Amino acid sequence: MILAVETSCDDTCAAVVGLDGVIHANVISSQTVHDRFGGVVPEIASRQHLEQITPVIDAALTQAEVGLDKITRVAATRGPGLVAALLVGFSAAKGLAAGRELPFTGVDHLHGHLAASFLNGFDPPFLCLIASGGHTLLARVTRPEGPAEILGQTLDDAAGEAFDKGARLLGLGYPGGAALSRLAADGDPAAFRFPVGARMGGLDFSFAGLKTALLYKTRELGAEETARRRADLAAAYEAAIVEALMIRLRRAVQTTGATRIALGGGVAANGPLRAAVAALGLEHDVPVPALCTDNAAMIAAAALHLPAQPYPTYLGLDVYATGERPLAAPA
Amino acid sequence: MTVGSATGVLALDTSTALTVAALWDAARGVDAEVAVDPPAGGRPLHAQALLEAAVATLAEGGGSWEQVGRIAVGIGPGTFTGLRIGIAAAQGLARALGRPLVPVSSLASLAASATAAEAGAGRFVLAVIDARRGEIFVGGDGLVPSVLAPEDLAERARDRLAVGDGAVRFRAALEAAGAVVPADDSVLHRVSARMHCRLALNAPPVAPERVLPCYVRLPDAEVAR
Amino acid sequence: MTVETTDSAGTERFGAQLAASLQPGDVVLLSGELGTGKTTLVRGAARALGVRVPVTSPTFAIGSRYPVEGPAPTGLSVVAHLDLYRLADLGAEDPDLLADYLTADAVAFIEWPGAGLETIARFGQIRHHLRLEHIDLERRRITVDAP
Repeated sequence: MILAVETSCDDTCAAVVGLDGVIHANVISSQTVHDRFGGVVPEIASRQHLEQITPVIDAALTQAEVGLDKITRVAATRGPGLVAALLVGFSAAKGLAAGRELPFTGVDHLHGHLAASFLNGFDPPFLCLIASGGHTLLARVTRPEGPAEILGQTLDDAAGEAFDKGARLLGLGYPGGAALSRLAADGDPAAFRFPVGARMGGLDFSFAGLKTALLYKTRELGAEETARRRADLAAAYEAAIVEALMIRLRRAVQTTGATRIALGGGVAANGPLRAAVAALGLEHDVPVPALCTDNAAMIAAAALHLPAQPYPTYLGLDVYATGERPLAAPA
Repeated sequence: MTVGSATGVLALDTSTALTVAALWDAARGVDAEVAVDPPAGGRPLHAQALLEAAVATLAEGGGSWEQVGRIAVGIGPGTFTGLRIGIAAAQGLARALGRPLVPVSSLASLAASATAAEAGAGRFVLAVIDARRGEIFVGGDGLVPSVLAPEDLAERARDRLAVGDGAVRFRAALEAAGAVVPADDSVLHRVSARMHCRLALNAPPVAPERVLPCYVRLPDAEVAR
Repeated sequence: MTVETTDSAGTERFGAQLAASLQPGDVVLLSGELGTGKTTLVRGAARALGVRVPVTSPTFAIGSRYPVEGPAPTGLSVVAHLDLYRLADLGAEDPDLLADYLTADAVAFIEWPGAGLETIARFGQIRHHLRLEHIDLERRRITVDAP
């Protein structure tokens, strides 16, 4: 069995997954302390990770009803993410692997999101749309060991960031993405029209203009009217994010001839997005929410297909933040 | 006290720019330390070098983890991210080996090394770790670890032997406050994982998840809570 | 100095012009509310400084370090881009947080510098402080202050 750890942002995660891909435990300890700061604060996240990492690993082993003696491999997220946060899980995992002289695999967080579908038995080839608070990209996954071919990615904000910043403009607090979606359920998505970047060709995403358009709409309406029509604004804004994602997904299906689609990342839990993907009529996989948001089972899933470095060759591995490495390439 | 036949103490420290590990086993005559300095002008190498250093110390005693009866880790104070690398790795090792984990104050260890070396002609020791932003963490004989500007040391430094990377960096301020600072290249300024081993031998272990950094400086968000 | 840009392409061009005045070790601060084009301006500057990969919002990871691949000023190997919005006070952070980004071989752009000015100045030379404002949906007013 493989023990995997993920601490790239504000969730402390550990999972135990069989070499056959069966999930025996997938423990996620979410931090709520950041809500009042309007975002994840790295130092506070890192402190909480260190307090949680050993209990979360123990909880995963307990849930899986195995001792460490049954673990044959260890994996951990190397990046991208908050460096100080990554270092807690990565160092603990390396220490755990070293003490038992187990093989170890460092996994790219985005490769993990791509691999979440493997756990459902949904194997490559497929097109994968990953949309979360930190990432938005379209990838063609041809082999489980990667690297995936990146077809398009965001040029400015991530989709989840667009949700959260929109929520901030509508006074919904942080993290407001989910609150915005709940509010949107009671609104009319056709009440307002927000830009979806349809004129922008290619497969890249852009959400900065949408955010600005919402800002101007709220200014135009004034505080009172904005409050009164918040549900409509939320619904139209959400619809625009979903449509912006779907335009690129449809284009990618057309240009690649893909017939199978997987979703990943926290935004994949969004109802209208799931419905829009289902409406394409193609074979598709949307992991359960616990496998869409940050989790360690997906890191284990990716590691199962990557080379495991034998003890002690991995002891010198470091984490990485972003922008410095080819996306989703084997670590 | 150690577990079973394993009498060795493995110690790690990442509180300063120095990455250091040591293995001490008096019964078997093992006393190894491996320290890695950052490259000139570069950042500390904790993430890459710590576990490699730990494994290198094992070699002296035969190479096996079996000889490790307990683990000690420096809890600072020091750089936050550095401390967490060392403590997370130590928690992982302790969990993997099923051995007790002992937190050691890096300041107390610095002070103990200076005292043991009898370098201060009977002076009390002031252990000083660079806290960045122009501040220092200070501790040592009879002092509660605290963070302050070197200029605010006043009487606390008078006639003490000041050691640690902070003592080197703020030599002028410390000497102005009446402290005696050994030469910049003195070994007394370096955190010694060997000393951690000795301090940890008879100290009570703590559950791994409760071994956390001595931050001294609370994040303002926490203070305001 | 104050300039007005008519669209995001103009904001990007202004960033490119500004880049010509920058050297390794320099820091540029950017203030302005949501949607004023801070990241757009940084993208234009980063392009002009030889960054080829997409320059995206740094909000999620606090900061990005982009490798310089094209022709660039001597000694420049990295363009760093940070968003300190969530760090109202750097006093709560690891003092080394900025050290990973504000290196001698980097030009750094910092959005929402807030209360961190003193800490920032310890790591780099603050060259400009830009303030971006909305005029209307497309147009922006950019004020360049010497630090």
